[in-house]
Amino acid sequence: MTHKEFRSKLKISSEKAHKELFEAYCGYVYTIVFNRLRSCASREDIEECVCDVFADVYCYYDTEKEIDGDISGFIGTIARRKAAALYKSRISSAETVSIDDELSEQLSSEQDVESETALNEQRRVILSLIAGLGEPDSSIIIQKYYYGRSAREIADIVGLTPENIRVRSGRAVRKLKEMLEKADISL
Amino acid sequence: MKKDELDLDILENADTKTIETLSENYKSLSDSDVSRLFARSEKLFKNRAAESDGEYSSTVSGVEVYRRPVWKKLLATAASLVLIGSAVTGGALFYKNNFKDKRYGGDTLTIEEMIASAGEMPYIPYEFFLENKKFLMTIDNFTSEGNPLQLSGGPYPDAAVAKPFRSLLVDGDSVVATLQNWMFPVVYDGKYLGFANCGMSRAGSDSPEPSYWGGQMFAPQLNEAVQKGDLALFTTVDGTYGIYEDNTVVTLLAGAPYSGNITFEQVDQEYNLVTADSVNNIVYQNGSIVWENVLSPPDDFFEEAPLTDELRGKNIIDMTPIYEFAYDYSVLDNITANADNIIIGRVNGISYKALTYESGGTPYTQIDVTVSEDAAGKLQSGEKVSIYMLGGYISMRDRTGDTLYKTGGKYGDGISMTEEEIDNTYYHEIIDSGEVPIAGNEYAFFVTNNEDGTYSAPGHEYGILYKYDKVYVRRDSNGLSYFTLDQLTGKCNFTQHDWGIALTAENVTSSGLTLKCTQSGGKDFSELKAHGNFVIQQLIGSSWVNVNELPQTAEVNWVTDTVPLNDTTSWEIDWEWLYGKLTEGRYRIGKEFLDFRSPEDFDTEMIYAEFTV
Repeated sequence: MTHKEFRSKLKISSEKAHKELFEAYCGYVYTIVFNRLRSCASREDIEECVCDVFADVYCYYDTEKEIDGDISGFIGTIARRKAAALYKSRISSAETVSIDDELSEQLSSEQDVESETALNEQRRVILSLIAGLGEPDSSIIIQKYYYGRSAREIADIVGLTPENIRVRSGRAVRKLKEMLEKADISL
Repeated sequence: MKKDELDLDILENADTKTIETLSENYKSLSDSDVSRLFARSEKLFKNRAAESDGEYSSTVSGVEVYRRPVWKKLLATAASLVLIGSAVTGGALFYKNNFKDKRYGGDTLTIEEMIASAGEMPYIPYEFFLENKKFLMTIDNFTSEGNPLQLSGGPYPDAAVAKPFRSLLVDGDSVVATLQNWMFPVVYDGKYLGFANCGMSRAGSDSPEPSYWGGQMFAPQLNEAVQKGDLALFTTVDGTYGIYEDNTVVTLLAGAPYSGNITFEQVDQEYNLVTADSVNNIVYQNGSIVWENVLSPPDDFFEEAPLTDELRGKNIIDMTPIYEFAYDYSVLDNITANADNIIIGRVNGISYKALTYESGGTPYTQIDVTVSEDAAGKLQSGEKVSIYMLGGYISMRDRTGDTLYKTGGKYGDGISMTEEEIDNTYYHEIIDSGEVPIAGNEYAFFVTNNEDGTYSAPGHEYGILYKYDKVYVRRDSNGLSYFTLDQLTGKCNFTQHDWGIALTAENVTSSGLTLKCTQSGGKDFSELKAHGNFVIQQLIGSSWVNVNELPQTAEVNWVTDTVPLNDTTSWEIDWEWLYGKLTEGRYRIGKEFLDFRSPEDFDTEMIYAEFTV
C-alpha cells in the first residue's frame, strides 16, 4: 500500500482503512518486533507492542502531507523504534545512548561492520537451507524454533494435524542439521 | 541441546534483509491472531485519540487492560488457600448478609468503600471455586427439588454453570477498579436463570475471606438485553448496568438509571463482556467440571522417541510394522478392562529394549518411572518401576536374528551390506504416533503386570494420561479428554485379593531357600494355584530392583501347583542356575498365585517373602 492509497482509504472510512493497513502489514510489524524482543519479552508483550505500533500509526499519520511511496518504510520505522524502546526498558533502567537509530549505524567501527556482515551472510545461508527443506517443513521449523509456537498453533497455520507436525519437525531438524554440517555451520 | 532442538537465536536482532525474508516467506500470525490484534489496536487508538495530550494513559492500577492467562500461574496457589468461608443462607434470596450492598438490600456503600474492597483479597482464579463445597451448595439453590429460590419454572436439575464474569467499578465517567467478585451465570436451555457469586473481598469486614451470594438477580434483564447485541457489564454505587458498542446503557439491576458518559471502549475488558454465546460457555455441569472449557494443557506432552547415545549417528530406518492385537487398545474401556493397575508417577528416562528370538526380535520402549501412587495399592511412593511399550528402536541384527545371513529361496542372494553397515543400521518401529512420554512429566499409566515384576502398557500411548494439576489428560484421534483419578479407577476393577496366603523364607543361603506358604482364611476365591516360576528382587535404596537373570540355553518348563487350603506347604528353591549366587543384601522372592476358575477365567496376584543374604 502506498501513502496515497492509505490517505484515499482514510477519507472513505478510517476504520476500514485501518483494517486494510493492519491486515497488509501486521505480519511485517510482528516480524520486526518479535525479532527484537524475542529474548526478553513475553508473547503478550510482543503483541501489545505490535498493537501499540499500529495505534501510533493511526494516531500520528499526517493526512495533510502529500508524500507518496510505499508506506511500509514508515510503518517499519515506527515498529523498530517501539521495539527498541521496549527492549531497552527491559534490559536496563539506566540512561543509555541509543544505538538503534539510523544515525548510530553510521558510527559503527569497521570491525563491527565486518563481523556484522559475516553474521548476516550466515543468516542468509541458514534461511536458504531452511527454505531448501521445502514446505511445509520449512514453515514448521521457523514456527517452532524461531517463533516458539506449539504444535497446535503450527497445525492451524500450515493445515496439518498436531501429530503430523510433531513427527515432521523431528525429521526436518535432523535433515537440517545434516545440511548445516555440510555447510560447516554450527548453531 | 537435545537432539531434536534447534537454536535459531542467530536470527534475532537481525538486519533488514533477514527480517524481510522472514516476513515474506513465513506467516508470523494466524488469521485469528490478526483479528484479535486488530481489535486491540483499534481500541488503543480510540483510547489514545480520546486523551487530550495524545499520550496513552492506562486506567487506574488494578484494572486489567489486557487479558493474560494469569490463572495458570495462580491455580496451584489458590488451591492451597484455606477457605473458611461464610455459611450460605438458604431461601429465595440467598443474599450474603454481611456484604452490605444496596443492590442486595443492604446499606449503600460509598465509592471509596467499594474501591477499597476491590483490593482486599488477592485474585483467585475462578477454577478454584468450581471445586469448593460452599460454592457448589449455592448451585444447589437452582437445581434442588425444593426450588428454594422459587424460580418460575423451577427447579432446574439440569442447570449448568457458565464461565463467570467480573464487573468493572465506574464512578461518573471513569472506570476506577475491577470488582473482585466472580459472577457465575447459572444457565439452562440457553437462558440465564441467575447468578452464583463468589466474592474475593468483604466490604466492611475485618476478615478477608471469600463470600457467596446470588439468586435470580438480573438474569431476566440480561436475557432480554443480550438479544440486542454484545454488552459490557459495569457497576456503580447504584447498581449493575450493561453498555452496548454504540454506548447505549441498559439498567440491569440498580436503584437509579446511569447518568454518566462512560463509553463501551472504556468498559469492555473481555472478562465483563456478555455475548450471545456466553451462555453456552459451560464450565460446570452434572456434578463435573467441564475441563475442556476450563483448562489449556500443553500441546506437547508426548514427544518423538528420543535417540540414546548408542543410536546417535546410526543409519535409522523408520517403519510401521503390522501387529495383530487381541482388542482395540485405542478404546479406553478395553484398556481399563485389561489393566491390572494404574501407576501414577514421574518419568525418569526412556530407553529401548529388544525381545529377541532366533527368528528375529521385537523392540520395546522402556519407560522408567518413580511411583507417586497406584490405584491397586500395591506399590509404595518413591518406588522405581519400568513400564514397557511396544515399539521403539532395534538393531538390524536383533531384528533379523538368524535370517540375517540366509540366502536362497525368498532370501535370494542375501543382503549386500558390509558388517560395518549392518552394525550401524537400526530400525525405528513406529506404533501409532511413535511418540513417548516426556522425562520429567507425571502421568497415569494403565499397566498389566509382567512376571518379572515389570509392567506393560496395554493401551500403548492411549493408556498413558498426562497429569495436569488434578486431572489426567488423554490424547487420542478425537483430541483431548479429561478425567479425575476417581473416574479412571472407577472404570477399573482393581482389588487386593484376600486369599489368606502368607509366604515366609527359611533356610536362606546365597543359592536358595525354603519358601513356606501358609493358607488360612481368606475369601472370594475358587481354587488357589501357585505358578512354579519365581522372581528375585533386591532392595536398592527404596526400590525393589529385579536381579539380572543368567542367559538360558533352553526354555524353562514351569509347573503350577495347587495350594492346599488351611494348610502349609513349602517349596525348595534353588536359584543359582537362574541368578547365580546372590551377594549380601536385602531381597524378596515373588511367586504368582492364581484364583483359578477356568483357563480363560482367573485372577493373579504376586505375593512376596523378604529375606536377607
